[in-house]
Amino acid sequence: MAKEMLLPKDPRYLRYPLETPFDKEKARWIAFNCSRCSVCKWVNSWQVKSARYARICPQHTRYLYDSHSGQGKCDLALAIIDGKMKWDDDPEIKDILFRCTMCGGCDAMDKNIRDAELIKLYRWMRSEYIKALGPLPEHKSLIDSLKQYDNVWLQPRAKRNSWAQDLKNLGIKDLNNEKADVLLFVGCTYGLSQELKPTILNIAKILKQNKVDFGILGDKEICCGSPPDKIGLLDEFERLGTANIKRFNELGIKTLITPCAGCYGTIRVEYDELPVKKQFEVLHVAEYLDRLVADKKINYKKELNLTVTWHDPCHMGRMGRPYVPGKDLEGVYDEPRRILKSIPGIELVEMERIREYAWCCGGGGGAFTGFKDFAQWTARERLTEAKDTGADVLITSCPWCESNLRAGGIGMDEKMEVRNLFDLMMQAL
Amino acid sequence: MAKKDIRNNDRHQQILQAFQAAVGPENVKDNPATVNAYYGDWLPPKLLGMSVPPEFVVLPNGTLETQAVIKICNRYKVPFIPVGSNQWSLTGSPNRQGTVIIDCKRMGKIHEIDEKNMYAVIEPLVTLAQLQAEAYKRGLYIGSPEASATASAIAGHCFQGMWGVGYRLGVAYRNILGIEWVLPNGEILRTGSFSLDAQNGFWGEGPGPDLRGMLRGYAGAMGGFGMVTKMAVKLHPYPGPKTWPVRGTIPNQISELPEDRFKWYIIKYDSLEGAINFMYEIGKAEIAGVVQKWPTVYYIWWWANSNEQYWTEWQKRTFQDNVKNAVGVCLWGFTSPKQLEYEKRVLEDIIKETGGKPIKQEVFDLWVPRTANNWIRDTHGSRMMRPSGTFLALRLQTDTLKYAVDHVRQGYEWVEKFSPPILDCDGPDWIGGYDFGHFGFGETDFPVEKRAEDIGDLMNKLLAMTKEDVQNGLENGIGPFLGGPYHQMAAPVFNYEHLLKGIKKAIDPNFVSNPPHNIDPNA
Amino acid sequence: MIKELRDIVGAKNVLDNEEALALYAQDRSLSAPKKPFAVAKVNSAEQIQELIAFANKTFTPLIPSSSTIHFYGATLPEHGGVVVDLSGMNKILEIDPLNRKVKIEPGVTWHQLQQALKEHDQMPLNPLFPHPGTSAMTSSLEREPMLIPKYEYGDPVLTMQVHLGNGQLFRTGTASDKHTYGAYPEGPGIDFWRFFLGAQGTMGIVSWLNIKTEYRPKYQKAYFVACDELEDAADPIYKLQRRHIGNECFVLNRFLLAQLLCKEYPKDFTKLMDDLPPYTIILVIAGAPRRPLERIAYEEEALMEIATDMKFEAAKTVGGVAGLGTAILDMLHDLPADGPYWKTRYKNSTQDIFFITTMDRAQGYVEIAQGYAAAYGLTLNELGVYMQPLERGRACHLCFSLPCDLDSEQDRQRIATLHTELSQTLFEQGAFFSRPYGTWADMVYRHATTYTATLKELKKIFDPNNILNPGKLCF
Ligand SMILES: Cc1cc2nc3c(=O)[nH]c(=O)nc-3n(C[C@H](O)[C@H](O)[C@H](O)COP(=O)(O)OP(=O)(O)OC[C@H]3O[C@@H](n4cnc5c(N)ncnc54)[C@H](O)[C@@H]3O)c2cc1C
Ligand code: SF4
Ligand code: SF4
Repeated sequence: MAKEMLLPKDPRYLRYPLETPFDKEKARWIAFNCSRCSVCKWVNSWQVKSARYARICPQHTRYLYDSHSGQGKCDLALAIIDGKMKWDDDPEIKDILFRCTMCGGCDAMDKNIRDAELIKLYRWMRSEYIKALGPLPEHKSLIDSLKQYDNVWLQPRAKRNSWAQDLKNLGIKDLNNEKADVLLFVGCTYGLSQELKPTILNIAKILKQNKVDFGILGDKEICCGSPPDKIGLLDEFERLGTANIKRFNELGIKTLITPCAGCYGTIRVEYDELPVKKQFEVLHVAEYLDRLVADKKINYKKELNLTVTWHDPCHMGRMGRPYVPGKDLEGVYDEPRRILKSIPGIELVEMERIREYAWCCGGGGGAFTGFKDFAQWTARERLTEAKDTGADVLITSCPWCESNLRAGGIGMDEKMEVRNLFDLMMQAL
Repeated sequence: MAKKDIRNNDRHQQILQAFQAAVGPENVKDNPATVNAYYGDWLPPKLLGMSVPPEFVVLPNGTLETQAVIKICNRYKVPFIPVGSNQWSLTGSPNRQGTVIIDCKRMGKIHEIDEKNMYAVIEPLVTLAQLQAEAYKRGLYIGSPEASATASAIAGHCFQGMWGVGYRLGVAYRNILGIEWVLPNGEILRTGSFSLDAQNGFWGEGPGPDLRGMLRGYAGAMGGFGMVTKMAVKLHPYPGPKTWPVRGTIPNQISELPEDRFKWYIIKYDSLEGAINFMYEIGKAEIAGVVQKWPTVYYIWWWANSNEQYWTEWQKRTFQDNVKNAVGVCLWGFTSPKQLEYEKRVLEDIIKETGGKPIKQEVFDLWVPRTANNWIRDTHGSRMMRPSGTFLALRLQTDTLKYAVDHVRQGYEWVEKFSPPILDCDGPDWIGGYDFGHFGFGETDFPVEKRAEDIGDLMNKLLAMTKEDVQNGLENGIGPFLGGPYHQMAAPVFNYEHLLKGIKKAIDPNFVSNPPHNIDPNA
Repeated sequence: MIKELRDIVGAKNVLDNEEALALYAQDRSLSAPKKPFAVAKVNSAEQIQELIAFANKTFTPLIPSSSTIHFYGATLPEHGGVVVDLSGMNKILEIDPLNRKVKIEPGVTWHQLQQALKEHDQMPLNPLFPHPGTSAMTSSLEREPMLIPKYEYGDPVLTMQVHLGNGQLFRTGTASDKHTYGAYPEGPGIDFWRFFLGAQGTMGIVSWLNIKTEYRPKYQKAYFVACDELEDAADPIYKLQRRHIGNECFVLNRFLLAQLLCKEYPKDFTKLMDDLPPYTIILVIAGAPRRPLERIAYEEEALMEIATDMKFEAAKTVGGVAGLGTAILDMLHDLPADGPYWKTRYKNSTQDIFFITTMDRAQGYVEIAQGYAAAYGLTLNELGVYMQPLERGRACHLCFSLPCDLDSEQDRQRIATLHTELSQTLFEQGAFFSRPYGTWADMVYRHATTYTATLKELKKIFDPNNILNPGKLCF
């Protein structure tokens, strides 16, 4: 056909606009082009393995109305942007925006059928909402804590020293004074929770055993900015993120490793939105250790005889890479699985919803702090799914996932133990 | 805000309280943020300001609560729309103020899967993907329309129900067994074997004249005849694996079914007639599980994983130059691998006799693993909206394959006439064989840019075309998918006005079930 | 009135003498005779239209009848009126081998249709060896089960022209649009065609019907599986159907198979009753138009594999009956034009009870039927059992045949009571009477309340004066 081709007039149909910043125009584009296909509510149908575990969106599954879904949020954004609705028209807007774990399940499914970024849209909506109506009372303590202590747990900075001291006793470098190739970025939650502290020690021991040249920042470590990023406090995110990048660049490290999926996704992906650019590689500890496993550097001593299942944290998995339309939604999926399989006596059984189509633990997006009932409901759904695999233990590597899954498990008839990947690893070493 | 005013009025409050009493306070909502999510999709109504948000969204659980809701609608004479996944705003979005959306979100149970007798009893939220997954586990399967397997299986069965595997299974109207159904007047109708035993939906017909007829039609009753709350649907013997084979990561997934039971061919002809002749011969030979002549855009709609890839590849003409007048055939070895071998030999004979040629191997390899099995599991139909925000269709026909060809031919002419705003599509003809080739289905599909000006203009042109078709005594085009307004126009011409209006009046005396669908008895 | 009738159909086509009326007042069922006022033999669609106008004007019931043989009382005038005898309209209007369909008038018989299609290598989808007089249209409209359960797309009815009681001439499906080939059943508007199926002529009089045809195999082989109980037949059939093996597939018990096979009664019959197993699965493996023997070969191989697995024997015969396969295949493809009806070899009538169920429940119903039969003095060897798997075995049509001597008042009484009581019990046990003839109608519709009420609403629209076969179903 010699005739001239009739192509869309709007260039955004020819190529999705990816360049930062994510603004109102981009938000409208995503919202406007929602086709109400409901793909954001269900696991990609090719991967649905049963009727029971076919849902992807905790919010929609829990609250049922379509307003509480990716599609509904597109409709809301469009109404707001086009001036048909205002943020204060309806108190329920708050729930639509914030009773959502920002898990990106919808976003991943949507990316299977169109070029779009729902999580960026939600983040934009949350920030606009906060600009108009102020932060949520449910998040007040978290925000205060950030402002006051640069962490989300209302803990004085010096509190970080408790584990830092333990690490120092192990002979771990303090990068505030020394140099190393690798920074172990611990994150607020591993750093400040008594319950989770052993994980950090275990990681440090494993790294040490393998002669990795690494160090920590101790009480000088500040929040990565993930919580304010997810709850729409973008200024606060920018403040923390910029400070962090600058600091890390100054350290001259080659690699930043973190065991926290939230920190990982934020530093690896979200920091790309900030004006200062990273000069180091970002890896999850699982990725780093997987390299050691591959090089057969890890010498296990014990056999564990456990059947386990792996829960993919959202920010380590589908949200762990920048979006490139048409490219795989890569993430840290295989590395933890390879590590698990490397541990003697471990049998890995999979849940139905895994990898980029995993069901969220429920703890993200400010839900853990702000909307506990919803967060724990979501966790129970995940624990039930884990139970159905026949596994003895659910393994993951994200402090939010661990804490929220444990909290959700309280009172459940059938218990499911939740453990950290590196603790398990240590047990076999 | 105007909406707030409505909520304050007494009548609204009375209706709200009645709904609350019927379904529980948390299962009815009238606030702007909720109703805002229920009046638009990829189709023109919202874009063109033809649809409005509902006044209430109600979530009944089960038949009795649905009945209570519908009775309240009758009491207050307020219109309601039953919805599934609500992808079809032409008939699933409120076209008038004061509408109640009956959303099926609390009706997601699979009541029963009778593996031996090959049927499932489902509620309206159950998606085709869920049902398929459960079926595969039991060595059974069910089709899925192009719309995508996220659609409600019941809505799909009520609506059009043309699926890739329909070549073997027939169109969904034959797939419906017992139905439990709340009529517009609030009565509970049970059809087929449900009529005598509410626990047993294994059989669809009767007793006596078959009232399933009310539910369906070329494009179904469009919510104009009440809400189905439970349906028994057929499942079919399946020679594939217990879970759907898929590898890779979104959006680059590959699906390959076992080679000893399934085999795809894409065979090209010099003309559409050649392609159709091939399809006839396959049907006559009683082989194959899927037989489809796809439009060129279909190849790329489901294959491209980004807009950029779509338009780059389109401009390279990768598909246009290779798959025009090509027929996709998937052979299935139901009985054994030997059946597949047999069918291969037969198909190869037919290809030779009819002068067909396989498409270029590299195009085949590019397309088939990523895309072909869409026709068995799920097309990911919403990819159709990717390249330009929306697509539209004209000239949907089902009769014989021969008839389908004549119609898509005329469809081309219309497409030419309406381009732009119709975008480049180069051979927009979709022809599917059904019931082993007893029927042929034809449709002309094309991308359109989602811009109010363009779509508005095109809609008017399409409506004028439909009107012209009807005046020429041509039925069954895109019209039935518009529901009421079409039937209003077509019913006198095709002689069903009295009957359809009579039925509508009889079972929907207050004209509350999704007016003006499927016809306005008083117009 | 007679004059008006004569004006419409011609004087010679109106019968009103006692003798003729007596003939139409009765059928092969046990229903009490009901005399029509007259019989009008029609031979065109126009005449049907005029008759309907006449009937509406005079409130005269019209009882459509397409054939000379009736078994279930469906054509007996409950409230008098005129029998519209359509058997003279017996043309095959169009054979469309390309699209595999045929357009028939009401009087076309299965034999006639089968013969006409033969030269096009096509065949109709007929029920179990129908009576030679049976109308192909009526059996299709009344949803008599087909012998071949392999077509998953089910029913053969495509489109029709139907004369409604309200005087409207209506075409269903794409036949409503003159540009089409009339191949597709849905529309116009909704699926009106469904309302005319299983309607016993109460919703409209059909003057032509398009039905599907299928390829008539040139090569086929019949296999037989002997079973002691009906339940032994169910599992093999489930398996065979799941694997897409075979064309015709059905089960007859000894009593029915013996009647079917016997050439000379009672000589052959007695021998067959001795030789045949209690139940026989009959499975025909057929070649397709292309590479027929290769298809037969892989299906046969799969059949044998299943037989070995499930430990049954699929053989060329059962009970040592010589030439069984050939006999069955010959009968299948050459339905008789006339002659005695096989089901009435033992006694001069058969009073059938049939319903839809699933194969796994069939045995339970057989036991009920046997219990009742015994109580009414029928031996096990006098109760016919026919199980027809439907749609790949998803369900089955189960039919019990009760032989009855219509000339013996005593036998009539006995079988009538048995028929009623057994039907009632089967119904109570979940048997689904999808085609409620005669007294079944009351039994069924009393329970299906909304269904019944809705049907009545529809009836008011299609036939407001209730002139079409009044007294049938729930009308
Ligand atoms: C991209 C695309 C491609 C498509 N291609 C095909 C195709 O190839 N073949 C095909 O058959 N169809 C096709 N369709 C139409 C498709 O069948 C429907 O969109 C889909 O099945 C509808 O499912 P839903 O759950 O979204 O229905 P909805 O949009 O929710 O409902 C559709 C209609 O049915 C009514 N309805 C819904 N639920 C009920 C109920 N429980 N009781 C009574 N009425 C009800 C609604 O009122 C509405 O009028 C396509 C649609 C799209 C968007
Ligand atoms: S998947 Fe995307 S396009 Fe589809 S409904 Fe959800 S947000 Fe809209
Ligand atoms: S981010 Fe998670 S909870 Fe929020 S809408 Fe998406 S899938 Fe649902």
